[in-house]
Amino acid sequence: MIITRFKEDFYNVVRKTHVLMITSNDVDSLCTTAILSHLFTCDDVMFTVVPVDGYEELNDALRARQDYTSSIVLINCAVTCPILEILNVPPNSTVFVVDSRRPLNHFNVFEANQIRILVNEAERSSLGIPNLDDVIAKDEDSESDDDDDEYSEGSNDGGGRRNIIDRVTRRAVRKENKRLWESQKNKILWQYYEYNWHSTSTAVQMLELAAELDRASAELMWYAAIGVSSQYTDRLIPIEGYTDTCVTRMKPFITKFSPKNAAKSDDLLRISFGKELPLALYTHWNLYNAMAVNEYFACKTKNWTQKGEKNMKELLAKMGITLVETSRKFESIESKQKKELIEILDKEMGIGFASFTVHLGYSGQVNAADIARAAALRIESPHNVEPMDRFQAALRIIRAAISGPKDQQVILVDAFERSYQKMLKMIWHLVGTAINQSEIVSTGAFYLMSSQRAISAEVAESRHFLLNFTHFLLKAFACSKRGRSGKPLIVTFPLPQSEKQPDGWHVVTGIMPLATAFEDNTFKSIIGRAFERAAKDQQNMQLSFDSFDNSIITMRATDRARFFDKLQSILETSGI
Amino acid sequence: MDDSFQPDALLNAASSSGEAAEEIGNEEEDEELITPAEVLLKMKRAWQNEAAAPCILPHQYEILEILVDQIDGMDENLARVKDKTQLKVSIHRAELQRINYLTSDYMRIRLKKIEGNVRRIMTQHNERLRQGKPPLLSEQELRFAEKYAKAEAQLLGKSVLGFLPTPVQKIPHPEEDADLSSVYLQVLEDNVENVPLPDYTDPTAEIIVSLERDSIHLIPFAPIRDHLENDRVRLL
Amino acid sequence: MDAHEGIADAAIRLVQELKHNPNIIPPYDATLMRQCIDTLNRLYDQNARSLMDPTGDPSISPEQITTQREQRTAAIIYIWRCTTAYIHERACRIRSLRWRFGGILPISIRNNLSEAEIEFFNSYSSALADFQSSLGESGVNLMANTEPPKHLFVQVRVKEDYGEFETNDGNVVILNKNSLHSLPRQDCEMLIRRGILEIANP
Repeated sequence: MIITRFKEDFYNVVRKTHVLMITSNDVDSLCTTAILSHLFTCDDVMFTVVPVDGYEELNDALRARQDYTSSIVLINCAVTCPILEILNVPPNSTVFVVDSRRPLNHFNVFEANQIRILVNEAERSSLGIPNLDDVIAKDEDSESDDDDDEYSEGSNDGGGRRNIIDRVTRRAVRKENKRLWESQKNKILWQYYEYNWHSTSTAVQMLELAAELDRASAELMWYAAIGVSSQYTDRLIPIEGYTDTCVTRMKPFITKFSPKNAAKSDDLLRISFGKELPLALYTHWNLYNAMAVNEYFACKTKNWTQKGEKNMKELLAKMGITLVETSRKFESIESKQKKELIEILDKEMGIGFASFTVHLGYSGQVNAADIARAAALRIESPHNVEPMDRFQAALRIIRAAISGPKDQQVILVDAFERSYQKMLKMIWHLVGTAINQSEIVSTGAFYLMSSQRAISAEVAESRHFLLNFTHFLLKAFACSKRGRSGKPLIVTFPLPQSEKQPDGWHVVTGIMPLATAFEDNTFKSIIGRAFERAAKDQQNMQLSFDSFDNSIITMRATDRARFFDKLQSILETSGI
Repeated sequence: MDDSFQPDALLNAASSSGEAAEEIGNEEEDEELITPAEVLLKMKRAWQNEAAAPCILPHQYEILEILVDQIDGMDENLARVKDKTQLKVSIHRAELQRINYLTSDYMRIRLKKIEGNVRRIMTQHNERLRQGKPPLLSEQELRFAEKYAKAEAQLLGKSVLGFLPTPVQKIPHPEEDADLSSVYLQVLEDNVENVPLPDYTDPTAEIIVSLERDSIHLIPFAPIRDHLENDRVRLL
Repeated sequence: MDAHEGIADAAIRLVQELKHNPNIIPPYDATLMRQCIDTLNRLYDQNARSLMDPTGDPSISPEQITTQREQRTAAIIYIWRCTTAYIHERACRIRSLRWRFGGILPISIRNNLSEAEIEFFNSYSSALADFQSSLGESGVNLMANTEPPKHLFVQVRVKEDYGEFETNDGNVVILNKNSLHSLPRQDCEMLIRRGILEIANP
């Protein structure tokens, strides 16, 4: 069932006994868990945290606890599939689902006992949930058959013949009604499940719960800021959705925890929200590098081509930025000049991005989007590193930003420079190679880039990497030639063999066409659904839908050709 | 003798109601009531003194046993509370753990001191009994000391002393240098007798340290031992 | 007399064994101990004979004989101190084991102790146990509450699979490897001490 009163029907219920939190290993879930853990600690509630990478680990965690009788909280896991049917949920537990994925599986919605999905009242009406009677059959048919039998017993011959005809007719009518009902049900469900998208960050929702409990603080607001930023940096929501959440849902907290004229002091935590360049990590890098790997500038200058570097220099000159300025570490530039540079770049990029920045005392500042990026890379992969190790490492990154200058130094330098910048360069390099060597083919219904190049598990198993790469690639592809913005892009990579991953498997993902007009500030995508349909009824194909995102799947290299064939016919008829 | 506690009276009082005031004093005097808060304060003071003192102090097991009983009782009560989300449950639990820590640490510190010099301490204990002073060790500690002394003697005997000529079969007693170490103390009462200390600049002279109420000093332990045992000062 | 310096070598080595390994209990060195005991007894006998037969070697003066006896006595006392110090220091370390491991010693440590030391450990453990059970309704546990309590709850990560664990107020938690838990500090102390749980850094 759906519950909308988070405090009364969720928090006050779960706090009475032990709470088991099973969380997906991504940044928004991490922040959600951090906020809930904080609330539980304040109230002396015993809890357990188990991070999981996908359905298999989730099921393992549940199977090991069949005698559990308290509350289970699933954070960004499994709301899109029928939980009681496919998972071994402990029979005497209550399962609360905190999830930003949509649509909610209708079996979960109509399950009246064990499953409780937290949904904001305001969102409920826009979810398009079908009526119970239209999609879940009632058990009437068996009764009616009995009536018929009774009826036929006490009748004479002449009446009997008429009765038989009646009976047959009645049965035929019932069958026809059932068929009509089924057909109608399928149509409704088809529409209901057509798109997949993400709703408000769960961390933001938990921050609101904290406020209801009078426990909101700057620290919790920081977690929520990273949570919503991660939805943007993970490419789950468009910038409009991100801005909308910040400006509406985060507003009361912005007012409370970052007043304009706050006093500066050594241990005071301030979080400000303001205009910012959507240029990843530029404050911890130099401008040249940050721009070179950035989608906007790379595509504008096509800097993966031979003329690329020349284009970049011309662009810089046009903007009035010297090469010297771009090669200096941004931090070391004088603040007046910094401001000027930022204004020039902002005008050029014209993207209208604003972000949360944390100021601790007098030391430097850190941007929530950058932290979300670094944390994503750390928490999502590689899968053969213990999920809990990744979870705690990412948490340390997030906390480093608010715990003081010393922590900032060591942890963040490592996270930013050694890991994330490397990944940005890798993405740029892969995009450039794919374009230069024409690795993208058109199959009529979609574009396909099938990479032969092996990449490390650190990136291949990370949703953050896959989606950023795919978006970048599509943009680069479309800007290289006209007429390329009407088809979706599917991308596959070979997965390196490991303990958890047998050899010869590929990861497959896809995104909507560039020209898609997204409504409601969300990335509504049909790709996941198309994958599911392409995989259905396929004998001899081994596909894994282990990820909680149905648009990221893995399969054997040898099954790809058949899969893409099927996918083609499905996408052709879906009329994109 | 008139000032001595009567342990039996205390223990009987302790096992009755939970939060009620306890009775101390012997039958001849009027019965004094001591509140739970005062018991806790005394325990804390005893723990502080014991932790800071270089040698073992006279035991405070009357207070200790009252508290240990209280802890057991409260623990049971808390386990029976149905709604564990009440703030007061958390507060009581935290308080319990604090008290538990005090009593446990007090016992641990003393046991370690006993183990460090068991024979000398037992001698001192018996000496004090003969002199009519308050006992050094509680009954339980005395039993422990006896067992420990025996175990230690067995160990030394079987490992080395038993193979040596009789005159050399001595168990070493560590020197007690309580006399040498200094402690921080605060004076609690008025009119506390001054303490003479040796003047290091002049072997024949003495420095007199006057002990005014609430003043804080760093003084060698030996001369103030008597004040400490009579609660005129406390260690920091 | 040069033999004097060599006399106490075994005793010095005993003490050094412990000095060089301050944090563990090295294997009981029965050989060295035997040497010390024999040396000491020999010295003692020599002194006894020297006292009973004052004449002896006519080439040595009475003063020299007395000096010899005094030197031997000094060596005897020195060896006595070293050997008793050896046993005493080991006994100290053995006692601290009881506070770390409870009443059962890990095999690896047991193998380093002499019979007498194992007996000592057991006697000490039982003296402690008797003491603990002599207080309070159901005894006290002095291995608990070893630190001033700051928070009621502590966050711990499970280092090895433990299975079902029941807290003081009846909640049953499954302690699977790598899961993170927030539990009452009191309930966790034993498992933290045993290394099954480790405190998670905030």
